[in-house]
Amino acid sequence: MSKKSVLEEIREKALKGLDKSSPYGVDVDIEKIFAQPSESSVDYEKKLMSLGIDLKQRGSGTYLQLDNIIKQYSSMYPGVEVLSIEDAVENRWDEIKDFYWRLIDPSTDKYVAYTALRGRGGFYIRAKRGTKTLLPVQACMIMSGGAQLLHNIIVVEEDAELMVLSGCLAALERLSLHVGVSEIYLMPRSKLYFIMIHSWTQVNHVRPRTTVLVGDEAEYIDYYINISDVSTLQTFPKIIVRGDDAKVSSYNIILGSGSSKYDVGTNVVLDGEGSSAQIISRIVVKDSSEVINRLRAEAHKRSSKAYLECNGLLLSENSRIYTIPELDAHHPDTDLYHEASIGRLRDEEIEYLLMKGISYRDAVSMLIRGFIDVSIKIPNQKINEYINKVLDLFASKSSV
Amino acid sequence: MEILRIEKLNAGVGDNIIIRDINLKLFTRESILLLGPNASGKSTLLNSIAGNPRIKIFNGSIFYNNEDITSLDPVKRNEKGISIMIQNPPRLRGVKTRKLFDKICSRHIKSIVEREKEINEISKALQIQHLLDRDYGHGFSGGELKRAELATLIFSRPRLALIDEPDSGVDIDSIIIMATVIKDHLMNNIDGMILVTHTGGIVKYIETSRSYVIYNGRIIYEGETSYVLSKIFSEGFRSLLESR
Ligand SMILES: Nc1ncnc2c1ncn2[C@@H]1O[C@H](COP(=O)(O)OP(=O)(O)OP(=O)(O)O)[C@@H](O)[C@H]1O
Ligand SMILES: [Mg+2]
Repeated sequence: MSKKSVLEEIREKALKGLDKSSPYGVDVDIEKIFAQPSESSVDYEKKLMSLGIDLKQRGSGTYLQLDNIIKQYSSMYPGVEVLSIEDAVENRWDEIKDFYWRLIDPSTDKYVAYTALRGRGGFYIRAKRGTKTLLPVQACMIMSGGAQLLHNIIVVEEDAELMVLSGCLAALERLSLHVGVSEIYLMPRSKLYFIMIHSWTQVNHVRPRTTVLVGDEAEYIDYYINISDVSTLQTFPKIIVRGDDAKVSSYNIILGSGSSKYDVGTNVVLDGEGSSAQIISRIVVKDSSEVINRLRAEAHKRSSKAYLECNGLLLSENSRIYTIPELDAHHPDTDLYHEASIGRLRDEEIEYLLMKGISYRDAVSMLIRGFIDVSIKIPNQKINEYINKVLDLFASKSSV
Repeated sequence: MEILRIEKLNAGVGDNIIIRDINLKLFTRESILLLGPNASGKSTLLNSIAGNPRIKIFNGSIFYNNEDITSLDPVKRNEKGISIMIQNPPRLRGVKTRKLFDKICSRHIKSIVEREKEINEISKALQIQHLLDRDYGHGFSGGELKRAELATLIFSRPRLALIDEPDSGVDIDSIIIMATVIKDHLMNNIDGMILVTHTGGIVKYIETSRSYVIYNGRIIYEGETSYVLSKIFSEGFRSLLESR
């Protein structure tokens, strides 16, 4: 098919999705948000710094976008490519065509459809066969108002290893919608660390739409941390393990504060023999926020293993955590289980720390920091330190 | 000079009074023993002095250096120098032992390097270096937990040390390790100590002048340690009750 007809087909499909609401989450009036102003002169560098992201720090690449303005992108490591999606479609069609709108149907829902039709920007990151680097590609998406609809593609080729550190944040407290449609491909024996740190404001709506395809013996690790208020955030990424002996680990750490409404989760489909998935979430809610957490594992082949774990902590009487674990086995030789618990901090532990001379606030912060510690080790000391800092920030924010 | 004076203290949990009419005095640079059978109220008394919010004071007063601290919060008491080694410390999930130690040390030592030095030194002396990177209390053996808990007491640099059963369920080597650390790192810097023990295991290594015996929530005897211990070990607590 010619490029033109492929693009036309995507358009046609997307048009069918324009009126489709998402089955989950609050429905957002996208047209209304499109009409909101944005601010092109906003100082985002300081904001990024507050999230611990230093654009001057050397990585294997960068991508930076403010609202709908693509500020910069570059690759700084041989074998790692970073382009904007438009640049890739324009100049690298042969390379991108097998990955462009192949995992996510443009008519999935209206957020996806709008992104396909009126989106601007998003990254195309590719690690070539055998390229191994743990220097991260830093991808930063900043919003100041209005709609930011992105389409991202990550391709990690055979035997390649890549780390993507993505920071998304709202620079101003203005009504806005962030949609990131992400199609992620892991070829056989590849490995991807995908670390996402998000910081929004109480007037932002966020609708990430992610599908990941994992090949033979590949390993996908994602780590999502959200440390701020949001108006509404809904996402239910799907990870399809097509290959044999592949591994998935997904960690989600969410702080619900203010009157934020979250509907988040992970859906993993194990469709390769000997594949395994581990999905861990830690949710802390305070004020009058609400978090729905959907954890789902589906297994189709021999020797598949999945472990789902959701631990929730309620810090206030008006907050809510609703966890929905789901296991769906289609083969007798599967091993699926889940564990969930919701509660509050134990008085005994707080009292103990008080007697050790630790202030109430510090005691609570320390226990929350302990609660969200999922002790995963990322083989990059800087990134580990960075994540630890973000988690410290998370804990101190939740204890206020 | 008295460092601690307790007057007619009635305290308990919820609506239950556990300790009654407690009168107790501790003079400056004095170490005393608090003895009594299980459930007699020893830990409750120590926790009342440390200001555990769980303990409710019904009546009476606690004076520390002549200041009424009966309703002072635990953090302020700790700042003033009152520190407790808890009998059964809780396990803290995700809180690394090193982090807890560091936080406690940070009140007295500003430099991270100096704190690290102090933590390493005390941990070495207490043979708990292998616990530093584990969650506090998680999977610690009985002896390890006691030694780690003693470390928290040392790090808070108390003036008044309240030590609750360091020697229960602990082998003789551990007792010697703890006694050595108490002598080397605590005794010279404190104004007073109250030590709770059942077995008397630690008494061989740490000298105390007087002993209080608590029974059913009441102090039934006060006297010279060597006499009290010999009486208890030969005839039991009841003998003291009868000899009153
Ligand atoms: N939090 C609590 N809730 C209810 N009862 C309690 C609580 N803490 C202590 N008690 C009760 O108070 C009494 C005294 O307990 P305490 O721990 O002070 O005894 P103790 O002398 O230290 O005993 P042991 O030698 O076994 O440590 C016991 O009957 C105990 O069950
Ligand atoms: Mg006790």
